[in-house]
Amino acid sequence: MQQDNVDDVAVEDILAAMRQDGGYLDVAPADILGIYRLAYAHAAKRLLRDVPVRDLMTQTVIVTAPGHTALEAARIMAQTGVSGLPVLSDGALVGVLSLKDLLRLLGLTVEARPADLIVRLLTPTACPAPTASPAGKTPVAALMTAPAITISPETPRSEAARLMTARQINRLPVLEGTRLCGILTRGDVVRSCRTLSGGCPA
Amino acid sequence: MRLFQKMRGAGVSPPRVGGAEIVWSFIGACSGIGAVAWLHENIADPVGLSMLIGSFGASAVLLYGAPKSPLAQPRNLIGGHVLSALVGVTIHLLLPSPLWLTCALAVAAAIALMHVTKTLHPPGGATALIAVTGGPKIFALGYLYVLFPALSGALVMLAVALVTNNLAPKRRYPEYWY
Repeated sequence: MQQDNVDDVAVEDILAAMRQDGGYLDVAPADILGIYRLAYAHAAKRLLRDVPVRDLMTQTVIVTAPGHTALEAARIMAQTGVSGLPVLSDGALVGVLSLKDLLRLLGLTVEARPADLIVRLLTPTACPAPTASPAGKTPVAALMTAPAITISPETPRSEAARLMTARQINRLPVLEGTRLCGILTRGDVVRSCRTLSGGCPA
Repeated sequence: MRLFQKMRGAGVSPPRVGGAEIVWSFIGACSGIGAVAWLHENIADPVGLSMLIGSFGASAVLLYGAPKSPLAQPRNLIGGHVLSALVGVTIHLLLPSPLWLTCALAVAAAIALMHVTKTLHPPGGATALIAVTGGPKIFALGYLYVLFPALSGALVMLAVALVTNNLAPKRRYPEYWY
């Protein structure tokens, strides 16, 4: 149920529910409505606070390896539609490779975003015809962000969201001990907030 | 002006209860008050005791007419009558006059004590008031008033409520015991 639905409940609905119940409740309809709204707000707050990452993370993680080339990693991203890959070496998480890390290969600055690449490609003077770049052979190990910022399955959603905002990252590998058991993306967090009235945690 | 605005009331009144509710309220009250009055007439009164006081009429409204109410739960019924009776008798013994003050203090102290002990039961106010206005027969009971009629009558009403309210298909009683 969404925010607007809780406000949609009106005194008439409470009256209908009371009629349906049939028994005598010694409380005025408006007071029931007031209590209902307060209780709903409390429930939303509790859910917002308590949901552990385990309940919202994506469990099938698409990964790459330190020995892969930048081109191979980029192909994986292109095929699967993800914009970042945990880097696993013998089952251990050694870093994260994001689209941003790959953009550096194309002569863009460290802060470059995908839009900067589009600007560059669409500027007639700056962009000659695309040529095959030898940078595609760069190993993932040289590009990835390491060590990766990780969370545990029990981390509360609010803490994960805070971490994403503070570190300006879009995904957090979820480690159970040392084993990679999932990945939490911004999308996962947003989707899980859809059912709440209080909005996403700050 | 805010005072007068508040006095106007802003809400709507709750719906009328269903027909079955009315019938079961009638059956419960008839059995409960019937039992208490019969015991009073045939057992308690002949030996100089009392089982029947006016406040049980009010308890019947709650127990058989609004059994879901927190005010009608066993803790409130028993606690409310017993504590209010204690308060009433005590105040009558400590301060028998002026009567207006005795009455006021008995009821007010009963409400306060019921609040503190989570036993608020409106008929308790009547039980406290009767303790200080009941006349020679009630006064002669002294603290026995707490047991007869207050506790004994409340227990009989409770026993009847447990049976009649749970015989009703859509009712259950109590919500909780204490």
